[in-house]
Amino acid sequence: MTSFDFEGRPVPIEPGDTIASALHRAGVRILSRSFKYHRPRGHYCGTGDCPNCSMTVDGEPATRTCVTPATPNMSVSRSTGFPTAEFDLLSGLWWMRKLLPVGFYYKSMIQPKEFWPAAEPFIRRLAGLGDVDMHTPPGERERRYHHPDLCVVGGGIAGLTAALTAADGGSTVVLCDEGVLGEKIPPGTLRNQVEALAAEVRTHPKITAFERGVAFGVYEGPLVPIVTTAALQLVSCRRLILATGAAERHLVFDGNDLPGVWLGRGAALMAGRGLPVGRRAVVAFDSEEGLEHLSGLIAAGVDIAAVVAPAEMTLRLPAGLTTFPGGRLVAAKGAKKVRAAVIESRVGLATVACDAIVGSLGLEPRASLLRQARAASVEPLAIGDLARPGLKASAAESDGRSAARGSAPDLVTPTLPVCPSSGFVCLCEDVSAEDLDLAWDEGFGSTELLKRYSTVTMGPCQGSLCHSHLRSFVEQRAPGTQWSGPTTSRPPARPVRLEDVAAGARYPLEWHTALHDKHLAMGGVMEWAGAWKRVERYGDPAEEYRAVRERVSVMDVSTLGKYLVNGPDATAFLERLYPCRVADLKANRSRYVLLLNEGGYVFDDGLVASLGPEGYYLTFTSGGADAIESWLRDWAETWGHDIRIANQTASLGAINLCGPQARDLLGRLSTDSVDPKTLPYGGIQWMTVAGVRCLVLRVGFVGELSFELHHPRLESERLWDALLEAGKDLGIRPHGLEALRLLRLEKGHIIVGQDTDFDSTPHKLGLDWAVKMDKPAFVGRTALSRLESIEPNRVLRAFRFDEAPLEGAQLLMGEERVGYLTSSRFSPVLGHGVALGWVYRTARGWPDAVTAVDGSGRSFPGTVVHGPFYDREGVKLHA
Amino acid sequence: MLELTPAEAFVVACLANRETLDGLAGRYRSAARVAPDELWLIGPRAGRAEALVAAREQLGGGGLAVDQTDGWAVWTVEGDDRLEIVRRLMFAAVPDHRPAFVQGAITGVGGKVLYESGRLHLFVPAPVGHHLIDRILSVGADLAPTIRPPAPLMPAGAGR
Repeated sequence: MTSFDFEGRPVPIEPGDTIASALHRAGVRILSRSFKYHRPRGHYCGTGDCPNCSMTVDGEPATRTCVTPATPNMSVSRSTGFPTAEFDLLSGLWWMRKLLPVGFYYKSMIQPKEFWPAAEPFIRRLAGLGDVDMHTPPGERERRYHHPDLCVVGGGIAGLTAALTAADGGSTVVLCDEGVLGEKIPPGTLRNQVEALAAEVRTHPKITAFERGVAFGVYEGPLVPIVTTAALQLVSCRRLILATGAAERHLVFDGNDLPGVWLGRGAALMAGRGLPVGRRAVVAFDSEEGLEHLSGLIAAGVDIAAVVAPAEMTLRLPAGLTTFPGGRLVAAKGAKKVRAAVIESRVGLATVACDAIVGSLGLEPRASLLRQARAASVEPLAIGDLARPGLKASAAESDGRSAARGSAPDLVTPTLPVCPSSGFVCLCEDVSAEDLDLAWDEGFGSTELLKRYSTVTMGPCQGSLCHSHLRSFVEQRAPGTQWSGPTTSRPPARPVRLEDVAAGARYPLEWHTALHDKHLAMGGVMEWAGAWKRVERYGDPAEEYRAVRERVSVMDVSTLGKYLVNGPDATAFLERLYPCRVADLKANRSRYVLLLNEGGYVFDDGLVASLGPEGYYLTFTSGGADAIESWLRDWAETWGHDIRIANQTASLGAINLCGPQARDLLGRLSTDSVDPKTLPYGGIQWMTVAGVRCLVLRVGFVGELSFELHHPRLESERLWDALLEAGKDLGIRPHGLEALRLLRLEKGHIIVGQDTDFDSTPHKLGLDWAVKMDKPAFVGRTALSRLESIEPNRVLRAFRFDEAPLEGAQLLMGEERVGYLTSSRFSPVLGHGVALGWVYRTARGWPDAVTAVDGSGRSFPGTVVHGPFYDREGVKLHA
Repeated sequence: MLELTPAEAFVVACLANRETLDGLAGRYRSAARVAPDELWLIGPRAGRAEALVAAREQLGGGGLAVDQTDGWAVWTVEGDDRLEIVRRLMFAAVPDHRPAFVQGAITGVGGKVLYESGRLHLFVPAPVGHHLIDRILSVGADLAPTIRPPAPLMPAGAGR
């Protein structure tokens, strides 16, 4: 016989066993401890609707063991209990419950303010439903997409019939059920009928059936995500049928959570496996289904201590049973398990000794997905027990056939249960009727408010058990009002792993330039730059820096956003888009541009270059490369301009050739003129470099003579190799981002995103020269004109320090905090620290001398510097 | 079974107003409409220069023809499981008719699929071309994928 490990001991497995049934056979009665009070919890629903049987299985907590098949060698343990679930010292919390009322942490741990941070870890430790093993790497789960005509959620008679009818009519169908089809139904005629239909469904060529497939949400589309063992199935369907059925109504009375209290289906399923729920049981029911459960229990050898049922049903019971016609369960007695049931009837209260209480007292539609669907503007067809709880099999079949053809019955609103007065309303979160009373008295006067305050319906069952009781509670106190309405249902309707939600999206999506592999081969250390991987350094960044300042260097700048714009309105469009002038830009010239939003705030920068009759070539920062496209198109459409926009970011590579000897090197590889008169600073020119056709832009971000060579992406390697080879004798060396950060900082050039903030106007950045307010219109102009009359409260300034404080260092003037640094490096060429940072206007004006204090605890006196640190006259740049 | 071939394709993007492109589309059997104001001409890479010149001539001054060949990584997928791999990678539904051109996220990046009888061509931006093939080999490992040597892309009807 096979077995699995349960807390160090083997538990035998019989064919068809779930983990919970195998444990029951092995005599395990306490399956978990409750969330808050650590009360013992045992088998209850048997259908995956309650939290009681949640355990850790093979390292995974919150596994519903009543619907999880037992397999050999699996490792099962109870997730809660200190030191064990059987003997939990923390169960003493129940006797302190007066000190721990609903919302106690909102009231009792406020003062002193240090109290809550100290208490929180303990509370988190004491509460909960198990621990996630943080050392287990998440699984590489994948997703699959499906586009059937019809998706059916729920594999009972109604759902199966709908699927088969639709498929026979030629529709493609995806059907899912969270269990194996039929397994949740106790043995009998109904189960046989379901299994016959299931056999047809499994072999139907038009139907994809996901058994043990958990549909945990309904989104617009409709889109239904289904978690299966193989993958996350994303089903985008034309029509949706929900046949999620109904669960047995939760029993709420004093002691209702004791091990030994069962819902009827759970007890009947166990009896169907030949496992009696106890030796002596009290059974309460009010339906035909409950009557069947009673028969099953008797057949399984359970001694029936008493039956509580409507008077007319007690007349149909076998002779010899003790009955309480028209009675009701009032309480369960016992400490760690049921010892007796207290029954109220016409003759008063009676206490009946028993070790099991089985209740089958109404059905609750599993309506969570239905409510989600409606919130997502999806109108699914609801059929079977979901629409009309307690439906006969023939009616469910009829529902299924009708739904397949597009019609469904009107929903029957089930009667709310009797208002709970004692016992646990919410098993997941340990919320009792008394807790709801207290919360109501404190002013939480609706289902939604009670939910948020007490967390009722917010546990793993997501209200499957307690939602109707909560509504009943509110309805009794505010009858006929909106306050007792259903709460909002949100995904996930069932517990799912985070790794399932992230299925198919956990891979790192890296954008690579055409030189990526070459960089790696050269020892490049890569870092993220937006979606791109770029070289941070190849070796010593100081050496790379010196190559730029003293000799010649190259950098892969293929990640820049690159666009072509042309058309009759291209000039008018760019003139209106950018804050600088475009119309007067001569052919083969470029200009620095700021990108402003409507608020006048800088969100990107780049260049605009005139190609003459061919239009304009635009560049943007790497981070904004792709987002810019929609920005351009939005404005073009808004203004109705007749233009064409081509995003060339992926098609073109770009290499920045820079340094005092850059022109020399460029001249070696091209027969085209590289004379500064032909190609001055700010100029552009088509050239053939090492046989590669390039658009060459004279730029200046690093503060040296620079040529950006824009070329077809597939030519990148050829061009790169040629530059390095031809520049060997010049001491060429490629540089990465770390060197670049220092190079541009010495010139006082900003990096948008690092040195700017969400409300950085050109004026605050000291870039007024890039904005022409005398233009009649550009994006952000209206806002800037209004801001002109307002003195800014802070500005970006350049600072000189003897050394280099860390970026983020706070700036002080005396004791007053006056700003912080956004960029900071030590300049080898200048021999002092250079930095950019924000400073606030003080009562004494703008700070001009500050002290930077960084995380090292050191202080750095510094002064404001106006203009660039390096090559202040721009001689090198314009060389 | 899944056969993957790196396709040596050209992509010439033609940008013009709707009417101009409507007229242009009719002249090419290997044209794909990307947007009302954008049409792709697709063919074997060797034909890129010719296609670009022809497109520029046909568009005249009212449009823009841009060679975007280098901007796209293209894989031709053949074999019985070619549609299965697309279903695993792409949210958009597999169309019923052929040829068909579908755009949408392929394994998380904006891409395009040209469906033809018996095969299909996947287009993703060249900077994430490595990602596409990695994902195909990972997600489709059970489909026994094989990679063939690069070959020119010859869309059905191309070559005229």
